[in-house]
Amino acid sequence: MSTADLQAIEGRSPVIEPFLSLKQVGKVYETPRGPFTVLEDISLEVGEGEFVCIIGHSGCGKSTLLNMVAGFTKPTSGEILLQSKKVTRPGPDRMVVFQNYSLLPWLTALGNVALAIRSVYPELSRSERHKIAMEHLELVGLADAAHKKPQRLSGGMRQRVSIARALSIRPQVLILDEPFGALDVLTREELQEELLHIWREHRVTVLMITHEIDEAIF
Amino acid sequence: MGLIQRNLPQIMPVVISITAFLLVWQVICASPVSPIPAPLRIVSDSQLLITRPFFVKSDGVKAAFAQAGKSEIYDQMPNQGLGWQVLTSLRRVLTGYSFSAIAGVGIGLLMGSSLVVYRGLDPIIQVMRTVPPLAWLPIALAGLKQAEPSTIFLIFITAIWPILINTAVGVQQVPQDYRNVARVLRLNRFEYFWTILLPSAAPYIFTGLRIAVGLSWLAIVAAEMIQGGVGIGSFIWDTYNSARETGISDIIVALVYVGIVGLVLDKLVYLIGHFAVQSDK
Repeated sequence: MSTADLQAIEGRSPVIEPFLSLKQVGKVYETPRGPFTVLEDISLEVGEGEFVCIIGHSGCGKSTLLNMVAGFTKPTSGEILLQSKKVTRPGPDRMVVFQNYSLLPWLTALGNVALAIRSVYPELSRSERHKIAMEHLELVGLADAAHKKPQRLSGGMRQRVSIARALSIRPQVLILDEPFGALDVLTREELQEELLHIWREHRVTVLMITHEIDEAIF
Repeated sequence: MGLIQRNLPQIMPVVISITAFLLVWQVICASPVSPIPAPLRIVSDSQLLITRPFFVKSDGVKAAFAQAGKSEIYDQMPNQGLGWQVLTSLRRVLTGYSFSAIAGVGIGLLMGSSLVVYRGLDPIIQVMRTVPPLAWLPIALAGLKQAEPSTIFLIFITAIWPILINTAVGVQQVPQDYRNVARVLRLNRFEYFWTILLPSAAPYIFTGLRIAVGLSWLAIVAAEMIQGGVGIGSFIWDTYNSARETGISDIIVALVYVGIVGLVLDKLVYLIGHFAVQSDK
């Protein structure tokens, strides 16, 4: 596929300079039946504080693109730069909110957020970590459920914890891979609203994948 | 009372089936010439074994029996009650099992983490684990010379395989989601091990531990039947060979002990696992 297939719908925001830039990025998978091109010649510039949605039908390579920005896989051609530095591996500066939440079931909501904070800011004390974790759970409206384990939370609440975890470590780019795909319509709309609200407040750069045009132009 | 009433739907079928089982057994073996004694006969034959599990033979006890005119019964009693016999077997099982738990989890973690180690050790393990426990006994006796360490080695070698294999699989099955979280947060090896790998593999490890404790208990009875000395397996074999009149009754009582202890061991490991593991389901 090419740039034309992959529509990037940019949210309203002042573009200052390319904060995140994808330069002629391509991805080719080697298969037993020869090379298979998933992405070809994708270029995209995202300014600091922008909210960018990537939309396309399933199987078109959206997730592949996002995985490369996150650093889980490397592009076979071209390069991805964040603040002029080449992306080579995953890191907390590009925190991901996964589609299936990816919370650790043996930790509480607070524990999941605190683990992320501890790994990124090891210098903080336990009480400081928990204070920050609590603030972010409050931000997503989950202060009451802080001490619950994920299996006692609904899908929407789990995704809220996942968003709180991602925001708590102050990433430069927040990457969301179809974050609301597994949720019912009502919960999804609620969370979309909340995410936009958080984005307006915090001015974090957001890269979000969706396969629903409604969500992209929400 | 409330507890019993609430669990009545679970308790009733068990009570009914056990009663039915004992009744059928009683009817089939009711004849005085039946080679296998009926339940009621077992109770009267082995009264002392049933009521005195922690009996130990001594001159004092012998005198007491003689005074009551029961010297004959005293002579037929084993040196120790069934409680002591079971405890001796349990001590052997727990020693061997502890060694196998430590080694099994350790090697399993290594095999699960490294594909090279896994490929290297897997064929050896697949062959060794099919060897029946008792077949190790001559090797153990040749190497260790003494009965006690050989028996413990036998338990070790019986219990280690399920622990090792389940641990390795558990480590390999850490979901990609959790690995991705670790990668994006750049957890160091130590953090990854304690916060992700170990809790994620824990249900598999406990499955291995549970299978292993059952196998250990099976193996100890068989090993002791060959080894002799003290222990529930030795008791069963010695009693059979002693050809005393109430022998079969005594053996059946011992089998009930073996079954109950095996059940308790299984439930114990299950409960430890249940409280130690937080699963996603």
